[in-house]
Amino acid sequence: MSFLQPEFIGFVVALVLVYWAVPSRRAQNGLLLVASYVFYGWMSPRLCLLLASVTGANYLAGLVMERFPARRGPVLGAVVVASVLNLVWFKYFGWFASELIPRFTSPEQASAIAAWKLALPLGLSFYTFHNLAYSIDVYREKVHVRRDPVDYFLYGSWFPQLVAGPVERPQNVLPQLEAPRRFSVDLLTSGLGLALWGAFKKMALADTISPFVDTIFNTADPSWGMIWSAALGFTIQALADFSGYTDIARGVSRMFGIELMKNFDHPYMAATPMEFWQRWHMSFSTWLRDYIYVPACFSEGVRRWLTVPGTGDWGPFGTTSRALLITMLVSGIWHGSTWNFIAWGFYYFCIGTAYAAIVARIPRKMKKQGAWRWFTVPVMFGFTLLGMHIFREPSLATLGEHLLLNPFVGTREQWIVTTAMLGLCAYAAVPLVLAMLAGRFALPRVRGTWAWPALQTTFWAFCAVAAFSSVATSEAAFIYFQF
Amino acid sequence: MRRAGGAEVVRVRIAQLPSLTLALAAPLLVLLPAWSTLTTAPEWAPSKDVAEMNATATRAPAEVVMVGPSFARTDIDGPALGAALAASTPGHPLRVARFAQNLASAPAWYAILKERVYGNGLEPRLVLLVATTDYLLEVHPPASRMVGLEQHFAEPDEVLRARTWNSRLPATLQRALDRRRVLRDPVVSAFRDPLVEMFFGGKNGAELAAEAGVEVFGQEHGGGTRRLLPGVEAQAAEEASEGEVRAADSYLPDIAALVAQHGGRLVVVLPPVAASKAADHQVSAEAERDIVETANALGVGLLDLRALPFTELDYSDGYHMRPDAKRVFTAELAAGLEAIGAMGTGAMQGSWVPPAFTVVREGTAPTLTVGTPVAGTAPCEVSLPFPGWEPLTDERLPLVSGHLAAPFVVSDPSGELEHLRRAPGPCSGAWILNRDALRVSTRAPGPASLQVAWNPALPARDADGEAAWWVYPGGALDFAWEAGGPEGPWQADLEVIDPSGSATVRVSFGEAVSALPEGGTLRRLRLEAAGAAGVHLRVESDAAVVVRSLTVRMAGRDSAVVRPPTARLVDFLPGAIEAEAPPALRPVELGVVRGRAAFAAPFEDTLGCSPVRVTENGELLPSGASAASTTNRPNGVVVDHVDGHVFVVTPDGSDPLTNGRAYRLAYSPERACRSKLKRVSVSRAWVYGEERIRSTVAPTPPLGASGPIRALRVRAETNAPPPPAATVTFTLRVGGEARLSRTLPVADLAGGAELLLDAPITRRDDGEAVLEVQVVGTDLPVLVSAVGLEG
Repeated sequence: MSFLQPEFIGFVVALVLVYWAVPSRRAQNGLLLVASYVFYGWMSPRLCLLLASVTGANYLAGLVMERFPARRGPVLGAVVVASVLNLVWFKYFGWFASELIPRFTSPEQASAIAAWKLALPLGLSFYTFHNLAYSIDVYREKVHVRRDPVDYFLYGSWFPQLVAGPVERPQNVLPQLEAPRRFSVDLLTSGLGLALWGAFKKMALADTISPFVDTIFNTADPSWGMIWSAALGFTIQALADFSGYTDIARGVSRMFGIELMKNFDHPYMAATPMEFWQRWHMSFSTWLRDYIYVPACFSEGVRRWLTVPGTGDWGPFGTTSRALLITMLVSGIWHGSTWNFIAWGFYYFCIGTAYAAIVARIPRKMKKQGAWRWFTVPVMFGFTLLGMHIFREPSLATLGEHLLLNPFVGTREQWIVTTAMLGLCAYAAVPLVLAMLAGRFALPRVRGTWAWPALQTTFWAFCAVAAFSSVATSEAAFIYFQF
Repeated sequence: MRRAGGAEVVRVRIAQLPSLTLALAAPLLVLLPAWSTLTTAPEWAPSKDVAEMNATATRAPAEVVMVGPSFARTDIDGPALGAALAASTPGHPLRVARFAQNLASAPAWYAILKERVYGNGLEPRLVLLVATTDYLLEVHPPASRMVGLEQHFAEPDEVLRARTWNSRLPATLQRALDRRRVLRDPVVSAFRDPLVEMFFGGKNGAELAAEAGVEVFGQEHGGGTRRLLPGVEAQAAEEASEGEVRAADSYLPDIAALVAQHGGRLVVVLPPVAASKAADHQVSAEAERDIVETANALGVGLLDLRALPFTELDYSDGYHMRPDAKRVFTAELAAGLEAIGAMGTGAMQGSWVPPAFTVVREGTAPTLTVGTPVAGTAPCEVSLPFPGWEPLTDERLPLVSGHLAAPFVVSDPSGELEHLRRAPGPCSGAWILNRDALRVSTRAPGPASLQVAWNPALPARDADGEAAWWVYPGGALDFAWEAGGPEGPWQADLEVIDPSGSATVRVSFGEAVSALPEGGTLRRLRLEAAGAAGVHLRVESDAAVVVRSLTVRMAGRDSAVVRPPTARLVDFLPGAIEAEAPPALRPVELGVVRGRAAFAAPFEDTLGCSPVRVTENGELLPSGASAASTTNRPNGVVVDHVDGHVFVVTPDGSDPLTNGRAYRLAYSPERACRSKLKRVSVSRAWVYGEERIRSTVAPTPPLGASGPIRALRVRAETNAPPPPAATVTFTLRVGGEARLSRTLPVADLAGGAELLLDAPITRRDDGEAVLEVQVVGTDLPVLVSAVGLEG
């Protein structure tokens, strides 16, 4: 089921009513577990088996690690390998079948093998990472093993964050599932408000400009202006789309008394690549940081393999750069099996390393001055724009063609299309900017005043009407469903 | 706490009451106007198409009504059909009314019948649905066609809502859903349109953006184009095919019920389309059987005329028939309708499938002689000088053969090399046309044995079907009518392009043999004979030539059409032109033509922006000076210069080096931007006797023309002496009103004549400008060409 289906509204409303009427925590969790599997199996019930097997494997891994502490390493290794192989099979087999296998087999064999390709189950990579976090943290003894299957399976399949995140941590969600939850109007109203704001961002902003962006990127012979205006549009669309999804997920989850972690924090206000990753898809970035980057920093294997012989290991800078390379390449590969995603990861490694090398040499006094951010934030936004451009292009060849376009060439019509696209970018960006300013300056002053409830309900009405008026363009799935 | 502070709690609640009341009331400020806007019944104003249909319906009662897409307009001669049907229905000629709408499919036919035909009080005895099977089964039209459907009503009726919108909702709720975008679109437009208007002012920003979208994304991608328009983009997502619909679930039962309710009879007519287009409209054999069975069950007549013996040449664009084919088709349709008893009272049944007409090519492509290979700078790169024909690049191929397929096959001993449109990589075993040479990247470094031959696969089918046929030495091109086809006296006009300029072409039919004279590039030959069934016409040549068209007239029918323009692009040699100094122009020194021209026309020059001018017999030719692709486009600019070469496309496609006309090149220090001449939509067309063609002036005004357009320039010619009484009439209509009409004796056009129809056209204000050309008194064709606008 998608958040954009009309059935989802009925599903959530009914579930909220029943959920808060159920007296016991265990019964509530049982209800939410059933609801999560109904949500996931809505289109294809067979997918529930996959979800259950991924969740069950990590649940059992936790129990086995507890029972046989001496074999925790092999058990973790087994569950990680199994999860990764499962992910690779569904997500990257198509790439192997089309790119690698034809080089070593006959065309007939290659096409026979390509026929084995299966569609990527929705949210597989999200809930694989989400469940792996539990096994790894049990191994690291950061969380204790959960014996209650209902609690754990609910953690592994909690429907609001199931298909596109946030990639939650056991430390955040499991304690909430294991504690009794009390109904409060605030939970419902703030959850509803967040979900409606998310729906507004997705439907009224992202889905409105998405067809224009797609049209330009699909044009055979675009001009420089068209491509870059569309890249700007995609930059805004991606934020509105993904943060919209996250807000719906967090809002719906909050209505059940379960707080999910924040996933976006005005990422385009970042001044450096590192800050960008602390603000964009935060749950995934921190997952990569904790489970890839930090281990890679301390890995002797990484140091040995990624050091050019005779050049030394470059000290801490070399250590962090090697870890960043691994992390960004994993991030790129996780996003997709085309070369431009890998190039995208490599691009962030390059600018991250360059920033680390340059910014470290700038006096701290200068960085603390207000003008510093006025300069660095736009520069970083430029790098983000290029990164989004790399991300959006269908292939490296097309990317190369588009990057080599002459900025001064374009017909009058192409410039008109460019201008129209920029106007649409403004349409999508203005509400996001206003929301950021309101969140920073206005909301703290009006929250809790007598006018606050009226402002809230009017805002809900506005979001609902705006989303409804754009619902026709919402057949497009959320961008991050594909990952 | 609650107990202990009970009184306090009550006090707090009372204090919150105004706030809560306001919280409930405030959103109504948003919700009520939104609901009111969404549920207000939309206003409806008839579109131009609808107004025309209403006028047709109210003009006079009609016994027969034709409904369908453009086929219903182009393929059937209404009066002739009425007369033919009246022959079997004594008393009076039947009036046939036409309700055709471009790209209309079944939902639109239903709407047209309900709203335009029966809604206007027409009660026809016979309703003909003229369409292809895929359109008949269409239930959910794509976005581009939904626009055509929705113009017939303010709100769709229950049948349309249920079938096409898949909705069983109450009308009010459905209306709110349908109109939901009226809330968002003005906001989107408010951000987009003023910006466009501010930078590209002069007219409404939305209009500018829409026009730019059409230009940039292309007419054929209706959905994509319309995405620049607010409100329609959502429907584009529905364009994806939904699989085949069963006939019982299509609109056929609804249309049959509608017709039966008004006491009429319904016949579905499946017209033929060109073989190259047939696949575009195919449904499965099972779906075809389903249609027949459903039609039988509903008592609907079905005339399957798709197998009538028409060829590619009978269609102007693969879909729509030329006038003579239309007359034949109309006669066949009338016969078919009579055969199935459509005008009678009994049950209708049956269809008629005539024999096919075939074109066969024989022979193998000859090997070409190439110059000495020259090693390039890159590894494996070899350049083969092209053997003395015109310079070619991929972009110029359409000018030569009407399609983009490579004209050659390049191979080495291990097989064929790949033809690329972009530069081949090192040692990639590929080649590219590189102006006057073939640039080959061999499979391995070192000496290579390369062979170049004509591509035996030519002609490829392009968007317009077969544009030309190659005839190779030792081979032949045959045109044949199967036994059982039409019989009687016939004429054939053959049009041949001879690239080498030295070919001898032989055309044989039966015992007679005729040969084209040597030399020249563009030939027309007329043959006359009386043939019986199974006529066989053979074209042979001693050098590779292109047969561009065959026009065959038999028993009053014209079975062929002239192919799209095949102009030649010829590189001027400095010695072949002559410089002069008109008062306003500075002469060019021939020795510096190349450098000067190249300098004068940088790549980013816009169309029509050039300091180089070329005159043909003293007549200034329109100039391009932009990317070569603009020159190559049919109806594109005539003069262009790229990389220091000056190119001329002669208006009639002849070779400027040999056609005997005087060309002069001059250079103006002032860059002649904003040419006063601009192409119109049709720049070359044959007009046959008793035929009228209409050519719509392109909507784009000439570059830089700030005032009204003051004249339309037309050139016409014929290539044989016509009867003295033959005339050709040019009529210029603007906004439906005839602004100017000129009639000339066809004899005056023998060597080509040019007219300046000096009637003001300000298209934006006055409406569409249309040029009509009609030939009277002869069956000789007149070639109307080189049409331009003068500002």
